[in-house]
Amino acid sequence: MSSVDLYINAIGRSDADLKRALDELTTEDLRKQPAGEGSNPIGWLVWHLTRTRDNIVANISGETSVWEREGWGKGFGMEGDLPRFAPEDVHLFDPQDFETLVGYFDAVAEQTAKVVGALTDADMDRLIESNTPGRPAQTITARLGVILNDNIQHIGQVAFLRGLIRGHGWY
Amino acid sequence: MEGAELVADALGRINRILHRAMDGIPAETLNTQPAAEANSMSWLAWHLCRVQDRHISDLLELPQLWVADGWHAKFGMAKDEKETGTGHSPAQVEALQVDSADLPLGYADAVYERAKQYLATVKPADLDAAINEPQYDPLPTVGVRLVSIISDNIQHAGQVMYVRGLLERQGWLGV
Repeated sequence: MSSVDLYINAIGRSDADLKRALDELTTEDLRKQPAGEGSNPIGWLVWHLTRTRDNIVANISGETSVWEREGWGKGFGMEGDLPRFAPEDVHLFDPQDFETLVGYFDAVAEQTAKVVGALTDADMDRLIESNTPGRPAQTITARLGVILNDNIQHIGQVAFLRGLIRGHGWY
Repeated sequence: MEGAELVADALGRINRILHRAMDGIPAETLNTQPAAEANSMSWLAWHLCRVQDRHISDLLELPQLWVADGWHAKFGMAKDEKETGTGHSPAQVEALQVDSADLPLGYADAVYERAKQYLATVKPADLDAAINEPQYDPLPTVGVRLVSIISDNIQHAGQVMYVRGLLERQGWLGV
């Protein structure tokens, strides 16, 4: 198993956990803040982790993000510059519906599999310029590390929130 | 970066997250369940360490630190390698209490230290070796097992951070 395979496996496995955590939730559940005011709802977490992954994958491939290329901003009613969500604002995020939220996630997951799947272990130490001005160049390993560590933490948080909303389970 | 280094790096981040979330935090906060039946930081940290200890020990074909180094006794629990928290009832979750962050963090450091030593010996070709667990078809490989450890542990570390954040906002910390 190469490093690339290991990333693909870890992301794929965690994505399956995310799908399980979303199973049979309602659109209303996506907006709930069971942890109290200012806490991140499931819808926001899924959108945020997908946006992060989309940007990193675009950074690696040198292509535009799925968000821009497929016009997802329109579907989410968020055209133009994206807002930065402070804790007091997260409840304002509109996850729309499962078709939109999971549709965007699936499109990014597919693009991730394509771009990461085409990498070889020799690519891992290659430096890439950041797509955020002023940020230093980073290796592909470091960029994928963010998907692995940051994204999967958020997936765990979605599962935990599901437990808060739906009651005791394996979450 | 080779596969085993990548796993060691992820486990190192998990260890740092636990320290960042729990170092110096009062036991009462660590044991707080943010909602009825929800997992506390103590339980989550304990459970993720149990998963790591169990799988790394299996890969090393050695007894778990849980029993070999007496961590079960420090947690006041039975000397049972199968007890990892998976399938715990709400009462069992509630029963897991620690007196100090030093206990779960001490166990976390011990299991991470041993995982690191093990991973330093793992060569790329070793990741493809099959594990003799005939209940699975196909047999899992060492690489697949390591992936499942990091996927599980990173998710639980994210949950520890989430619980810490939500307890903090409700003013249960620093008072």
